Amino acid sequence: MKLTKLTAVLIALSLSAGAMAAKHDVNIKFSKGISKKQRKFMDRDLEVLEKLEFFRDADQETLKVMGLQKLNSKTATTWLEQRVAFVIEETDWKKIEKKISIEEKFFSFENQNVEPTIERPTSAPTGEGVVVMSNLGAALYYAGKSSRSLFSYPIKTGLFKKEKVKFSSPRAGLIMIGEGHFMDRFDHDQDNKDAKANSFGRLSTFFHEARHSDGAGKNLGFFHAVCPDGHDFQGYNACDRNLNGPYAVGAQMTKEFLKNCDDCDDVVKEKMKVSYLASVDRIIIETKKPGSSDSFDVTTLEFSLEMKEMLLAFQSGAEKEAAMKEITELKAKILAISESEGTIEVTASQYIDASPEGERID
Amino acid sequence: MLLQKAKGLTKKTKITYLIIIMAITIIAVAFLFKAKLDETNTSSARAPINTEEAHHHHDHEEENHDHTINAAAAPAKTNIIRIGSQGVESEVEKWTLPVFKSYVNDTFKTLPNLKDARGLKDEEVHQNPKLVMDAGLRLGSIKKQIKLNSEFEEEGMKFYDKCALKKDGLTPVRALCLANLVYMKNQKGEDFELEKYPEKVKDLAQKALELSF
Repeated sequence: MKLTKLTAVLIALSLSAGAMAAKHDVNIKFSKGISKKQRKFMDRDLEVLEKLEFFRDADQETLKVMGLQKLNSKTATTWLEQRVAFVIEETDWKKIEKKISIEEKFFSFENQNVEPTIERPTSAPTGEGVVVMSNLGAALYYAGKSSRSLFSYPIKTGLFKKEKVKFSSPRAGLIMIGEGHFMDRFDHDQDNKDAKANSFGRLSTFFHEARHSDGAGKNLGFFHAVCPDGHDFQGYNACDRNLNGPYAVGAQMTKEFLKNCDDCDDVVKEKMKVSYLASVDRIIIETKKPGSSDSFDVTTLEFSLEMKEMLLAFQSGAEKEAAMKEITELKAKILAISESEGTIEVTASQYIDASPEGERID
Repeated sequence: MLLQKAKGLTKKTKITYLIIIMAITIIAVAFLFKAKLDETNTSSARAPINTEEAHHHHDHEEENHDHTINAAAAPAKTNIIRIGSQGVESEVEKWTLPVFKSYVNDTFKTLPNLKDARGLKDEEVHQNPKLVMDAGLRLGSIKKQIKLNSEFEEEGMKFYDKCALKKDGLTPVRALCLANLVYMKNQKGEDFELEKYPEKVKDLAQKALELSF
């Protein structure tokens, strides 16, 4: 009996020695299924964040977007911990669905009857790209809320350790990482894989995804908006119709990392700058909508637009592509006429309340 | 001595000691192995960067281009340069004007356009796509060379102007080009008309100018 106990203690000791290998204290748990290589990079990134000296004052805009009083390694890691609890490996949706359990039926969700704003992409070619990172927690919380059931998902975090994440809030904080997150081609510094700048790139993505753990009611999950006509990614669900969404968070963090990276050379800095600008460009500052108009031109164009949009469902390939181009042109014409008539409605985007609904339960 | 002591112990205690010794040995070996592995990784990361491997992909991408492009690809193979407070750390990094011109022309030709962007899969667009990052890398190399060689400034500014005006170019790339151009013109104290650039490019360039140059 004594012998068995001693052996168990020894095994536990050797296991905890392995677990202590991470050189940071950030309280985010990792699935055992994540490859050692990916885990090493994630630990390194969190270590970089935890030890980063934010020696330059943060922009007021960063503080406003993040909802922080000040930005330092402590507040930044806490911000992340509040929104990310678990990180799992890339998993097929079918497998995820199979592993989901219903913890409680008719669970009482906050804002039960309020649907979040989810915009449908109009022109993005769907298909499998490489997975970088995605916030499963927010999606599964929403799925559970829609079916009035409290979902849970099991995660193996150790050799003999299994934990369960319950989606009682978008703050459940389940993030899935994919191969794309670690690809050389996305590195800011391609000459040194371990460069801080590469951690900064991955951390900005991490902060972006973490923002999806926020929001309530119609702003639940800070889901993305469809990029407007004329935007580089028009029609894709890859923009934000608010000033403090995931793209703003990612952009501001990239900016802060750039400000605090004295050992980044010009090539690296230029890449970080383009990355910052590419995120800023996804923030829709204002939304223009044609107001009601009695103009014959507008009425005719609107009728034509409606017809083309209806037919879109039955089209494919080049025919669909041509139709979508015509739709974009028609919308632009209607907007232009409304603008000249002075009937256009312009809505400025706002900083929205990021407080989440529900609470994380262990 | 140990043997004498061992003689007085029960079989159970002996096995316990044996397990303890074995476990300590395994842990010690594992730690030593890990330390050795870390040392190897660190030293390779800190070694002078002769990045054949890092640029392998880059070379591959350009092998089908004409001779001008191949000539331009060559300087990208050089070691990374650090411009510290003491100035340039490696003079070897400097390119010649023809090489710079060739690289700049090649860069302009390979800048991503709207057609490329709008053909991407939705998942590829969620984070910054590779084509944007690649453009950033090339703009970085150009900026580095301009900093190293003041005689490249004119050629560099011409490139930035063309890039910022590229109608089918991506807005963040055009904006960064415009920001570099504005910065250089300001440094030289030259007057500069901004009217010919689209509003969205100017707005984003303004954001870029808030960053250090």
